Amino acid sequence: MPNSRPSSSGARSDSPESTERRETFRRSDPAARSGPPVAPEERLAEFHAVLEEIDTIFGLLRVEIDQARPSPELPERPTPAAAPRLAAPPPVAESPVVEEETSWGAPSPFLDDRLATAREVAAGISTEFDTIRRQTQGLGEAVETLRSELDRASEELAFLRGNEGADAPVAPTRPLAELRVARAAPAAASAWEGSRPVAEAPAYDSFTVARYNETVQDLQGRRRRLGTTMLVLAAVISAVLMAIEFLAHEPAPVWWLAGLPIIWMVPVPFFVSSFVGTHRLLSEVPLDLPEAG
Amino acid sequence: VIFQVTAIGKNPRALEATVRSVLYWIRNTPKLTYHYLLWLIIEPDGYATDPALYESLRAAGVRLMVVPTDYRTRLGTTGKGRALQYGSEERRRLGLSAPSVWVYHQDEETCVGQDTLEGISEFVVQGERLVGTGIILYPLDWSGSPSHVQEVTRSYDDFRVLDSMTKPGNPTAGFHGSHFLARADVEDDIGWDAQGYVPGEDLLFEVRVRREFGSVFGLLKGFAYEKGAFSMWDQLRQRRRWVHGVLHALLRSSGVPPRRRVTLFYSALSWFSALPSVAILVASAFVHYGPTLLATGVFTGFVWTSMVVAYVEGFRLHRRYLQRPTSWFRFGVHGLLGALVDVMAPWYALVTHPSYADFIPKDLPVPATNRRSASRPTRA
Repeated sequence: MPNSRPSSSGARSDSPESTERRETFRRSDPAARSGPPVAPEERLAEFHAVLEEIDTIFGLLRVEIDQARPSPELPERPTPAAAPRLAAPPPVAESPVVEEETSWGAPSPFLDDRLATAREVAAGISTEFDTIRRQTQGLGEAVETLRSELDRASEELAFLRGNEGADAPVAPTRPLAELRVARAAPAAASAWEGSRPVAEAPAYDSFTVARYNETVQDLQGRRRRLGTTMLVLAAVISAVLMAIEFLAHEPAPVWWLAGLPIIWMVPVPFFVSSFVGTHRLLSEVPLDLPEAG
Repeated sequence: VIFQVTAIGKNPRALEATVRSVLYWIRNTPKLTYHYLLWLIIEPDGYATDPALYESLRAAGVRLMVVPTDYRTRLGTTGKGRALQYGSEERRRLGLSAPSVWVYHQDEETCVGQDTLEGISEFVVQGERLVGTGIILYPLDWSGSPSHVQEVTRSYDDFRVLDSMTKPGNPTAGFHGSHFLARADVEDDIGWDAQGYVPGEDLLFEVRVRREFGSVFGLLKGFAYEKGAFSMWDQLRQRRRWVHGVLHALLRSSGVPPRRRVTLFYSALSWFSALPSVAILVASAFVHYGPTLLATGVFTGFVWTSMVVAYVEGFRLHRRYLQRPTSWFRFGVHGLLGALVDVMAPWYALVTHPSYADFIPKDLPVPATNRRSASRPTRA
């Protein structure tokens, strides 16, 4: 009889799931919580395990009650274990479970209601725990932000105290009157001359100094190769065009001869100036920025 | 440093991204050497497109200024110049028109990065130049369309712009209307006021600064991040406005020195010559003009190579920022189409009138289901 029934102690001792649950209980024991602080997710998992455990206990209890209920109208349970239970009583026939079974009286008519209420309360507690978890998470994020802002503020303070910040080496500001062309010599030198060497220093959140530096350094690093390739290619194209035209021996009307060079030559100085200026800038001006610390 | 976004305000989502990019990077860039203010100057009809969004930006710390409808400048300028003049007068009123204050100008779609902020920092600390501008990339909402492919050439061309701008006389007429930094007292002394509508207010500003203070322009390190026109039609209208700006400076602005007029004229002529050049190229299949190329062919290869390099290197500047890959074939075909638009733009400008009502959309269309949520402020 006892082994025919899913005795709570027997079921738990055999199932690995039950072992896991007991582990969960052990971890939730205050005495066992001497280690590092438990994360809210872990707490919630523990809580869910507890709820499951309670649910299992309720289920087992219900089975026990159903079996103990001497109601004639209840159909006989066709459990496979029923026959051996009657035919061959197990050696542990005098186990305490049997005594428990015999000691129980008629179940309360309100038991189902109470179980339902208990489940409802348990579900309510679960919801509350979810809310707490969310709030804890939000709080954690807020603390993290606060911590990072404080770190940054400390860094900025150290930066300013280190005399690198807004109070120091800004070049002396000249008043407008001194800057006007009539009163000041026009800057004959190029903008790059005399510039200080660079100091160590969707979506828009990826627009970092590192990416900028990569981009400009890549271009500046290829400058010589780019210029050479461009000139060689230009020479080849021009040579081919001229060869074609020379070999064609085709006459040109006078109005073509007069008008064409004017139109085609107009942008040439612009492009030459653009080429020279671009390469001068790429070679002479350090474009990279100090990485933000 | 005042980060000043001046726009009509009819592209609220692009504008929001711009503002949030400043707030984000100000917060996430340690050791900046300046305090900042964030100003947003828009027109009343722009504000009316999404008041809730603009108010949310105000709540985020932006100083929102809606240019009063009855505001008139002394000379009566209209358009963007009027809004910029309003900002300038506000600075004077608030005592911010000082040598220690700098104004960083942004368009509605000019997002900044950490590099932009660091570049500004370095420029301000050095304090050697009064006005600075840098390179603009166009990676935002990149789709690889002809108008977007055409924009990458502008980024490579910025090296030419920067070189020219920092030379005395600005020989190839380079400047930007956004992503430039100016010392507040200089900007407010020059001002943005002019007679009537000025399509190229940035060009006029650069000319005036150069006339008053000489070659005081420097290179602003760090990129700005913008977006190209969404369609070729928008691209055409945008270019038309630039051409109108140049023509206005040439023909109607009394304050442009003669030497500067020459360089402006030459720049315009170079652009205008593109369409006849293409026409001749096409005509060459039918009309034989062989010997002429003996003279011009020497440079033809150079001009062609320069144009191709602008596409290739412009794309390489962008590739680390593009989230959507584009095949070289598609890039080539779209590049040709985009170039054709640029070639036609000056001639189109000649036969049309400048219009202040030219509104270039910068907000991507939002599906109807998302429209409601998209209008809500999002966290940067």
